[in-house]
Amino acid sequence: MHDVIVVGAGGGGPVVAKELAARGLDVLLLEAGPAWDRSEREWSHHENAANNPATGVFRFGPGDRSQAPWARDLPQNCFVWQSAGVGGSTVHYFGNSPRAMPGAFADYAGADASAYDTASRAPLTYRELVPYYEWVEETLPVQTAAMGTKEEQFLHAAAKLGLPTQTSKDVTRPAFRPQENAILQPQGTAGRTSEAKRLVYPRAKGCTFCGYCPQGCVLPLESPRNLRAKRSTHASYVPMALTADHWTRGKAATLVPDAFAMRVETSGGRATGITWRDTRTGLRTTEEAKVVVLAAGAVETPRLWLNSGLPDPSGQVGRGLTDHYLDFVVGRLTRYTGSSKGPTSAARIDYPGRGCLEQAGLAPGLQAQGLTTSDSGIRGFYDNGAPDGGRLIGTRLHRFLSNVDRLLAVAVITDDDVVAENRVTLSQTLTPDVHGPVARVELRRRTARTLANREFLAARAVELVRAAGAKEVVRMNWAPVLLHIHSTMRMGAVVDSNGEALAVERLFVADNSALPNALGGPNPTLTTQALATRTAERIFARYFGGDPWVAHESPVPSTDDTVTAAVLASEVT
Amino acid sequence: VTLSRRELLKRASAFVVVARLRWLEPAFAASPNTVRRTLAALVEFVVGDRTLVAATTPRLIRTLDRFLPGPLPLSATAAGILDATAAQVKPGATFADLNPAQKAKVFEALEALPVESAGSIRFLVGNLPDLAAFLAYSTPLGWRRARYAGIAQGRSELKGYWQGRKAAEP
Repeated sequence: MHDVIVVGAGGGGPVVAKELAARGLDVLLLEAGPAWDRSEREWSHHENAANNPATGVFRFGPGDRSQAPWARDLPQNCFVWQSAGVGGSTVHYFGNSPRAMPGAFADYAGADASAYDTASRAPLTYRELVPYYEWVEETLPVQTAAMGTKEEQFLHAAAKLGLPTQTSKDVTRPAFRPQENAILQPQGTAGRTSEAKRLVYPRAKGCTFCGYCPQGCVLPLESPRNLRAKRSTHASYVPMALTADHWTRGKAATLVPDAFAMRVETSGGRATGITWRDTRTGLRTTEEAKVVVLAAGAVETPRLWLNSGLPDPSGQVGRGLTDHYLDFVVGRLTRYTGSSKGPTSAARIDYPGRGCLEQAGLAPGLQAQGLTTSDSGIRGFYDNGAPDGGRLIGTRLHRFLSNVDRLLAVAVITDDDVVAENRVTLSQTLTPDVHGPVARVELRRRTARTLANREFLAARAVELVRAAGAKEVVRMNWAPVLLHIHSTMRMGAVVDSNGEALAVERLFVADNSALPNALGGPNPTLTTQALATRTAERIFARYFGGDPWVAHESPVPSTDDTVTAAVLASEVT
Repeated sequence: VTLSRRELLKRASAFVVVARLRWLEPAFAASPNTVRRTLAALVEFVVGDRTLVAATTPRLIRTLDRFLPGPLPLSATAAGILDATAAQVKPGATFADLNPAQKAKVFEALEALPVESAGSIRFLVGNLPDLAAFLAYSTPLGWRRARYAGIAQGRSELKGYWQGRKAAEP
């Protein structure tokens, strides 16, 4: 019997696995997707090879790409962008690691307290979470982003609008700043050349400004896995979990990739283990553990719960999905912006009570996708009654994409409200796949506050891009693009403030689904990782008789020489 | 392919289960040539560049069919939906026969279908334009159109730090 089984090696699961492995517990980490243990060869800078939703490396599907991706029932115009495999969606995320808005938490008493999702405040205080933020920020590590041309233009435009510079990690007022990113900043030749031979580690360290955050990150060339620029859990927490016997006096976690969890085993109201299916062989295995942690993501975690027949006395499992109701604003400039180069997003503006704007530089394929997604019909033809938006096609699209490096694009990240009808259920329409009934993701309603926030932010984005000098600006009114998916197993509704299920003992949730709300708008991964760290402490204290550590220890950064030595000695590639 | 609106709705709503239930509807399964012609017309409508069509259409068909394999390819379902709706916009026409304004009317009609009963159609149709655009501009030809610098391991693009700040204040 294991001490702990963690289901899912994405943004949250490896945090629990690393922390508990470092405490000497026997941890089994299951991942439905592939191991990516030859990522330098498996990943690709080519957008179609990396991001094609059916055939791309970073799709939600099995490692064997001759097989179809795993199905979801999506009964509306939307796009879900998730990746299976070790690192989960952090392999294609942008690394943005802002803290949540303090207004999203129970203790907030600011003058704008009523501006947030007051019905779904986090059942813990912001102040209580800060030490866990600091722990994760040092472990990953999170660093202040350097600028390329597009960031310079974004930040100067924000200053021109009269906004102040945000200098601390805690957001207290509308302000702009370089992103706090889980990206090692450039050193040596990084960011200073495009010559591959000069971008080999250690001559180059950190971000090389290649422009491929959504295509994974294996740079600088020949760098040890834990020293790659972008700090996906594939590069940070997973290597630490797998070498916890080397860099500390822990016990190395066991990783089983290609293992799709099908059922949470229970006995007497307690979780006792997991049954999973090997996606390559079809063999099923059941393993027991003293504690089970679900971290399969905000779609698959509720699916696993429901497929396991676990109790849902409050009817809240799967309900309350938030997604930041993203939108996209793009300006066309007459001068160079370098939009396709450098980290995808390295500058942002935060509007407490509203949400955020962030600069989003993309290569041509994803840029084209972003310009042709809309719920406002097709620009110049029809608008579905929502005239502020519309897909660009034909000559309009061609005009915008006539020079990708003269664009300035801004992602609108809305503080959206928890709404019960927006939810994950089991599909009654799709035939179950080999892992059981598949997830149905329904987005049915937005509150007036959510809609008002989105309009406010989109208007600010247009102002910003115009201030940067854009001659032509389009706001897309995106159909739901689900990059940030959260709050389907909400803290306070399905799990308690320790992350433990209210209805099943010894069963915890440690992914985006446990977030209590949309966090006020900031990108969710850092907060999920901070909460996962706290959940690991609570597991250790409650079920293994240990003491909390965050308050009185210092974390070992995942880039520490001891970790590098452990990674090299253990041949974690 | 000529279906009534009601029939189209009923059949296409179930497109996601057709393949798995082996409910093969011959009237709904277009020939490969028809599928290619219809989806090529879609690509041209979206990207407005005939030279990108040849490189993109096979990718679009492959992506759709790999997304949901089965006896009735998803590309044929997509083409069938576009053609059947085109026949409502202009009797007797297929999607490829329509002018841009009429093609837009096809999308307008499909996007007006109720989510409650035709959500899966809206998912499929809603993603066709952006998938076509993504695929077109992921090709080397698309890169040239976008004056993209191409694949590299790094860029000489570092401009320093805003106000010289390399770390947030505590």
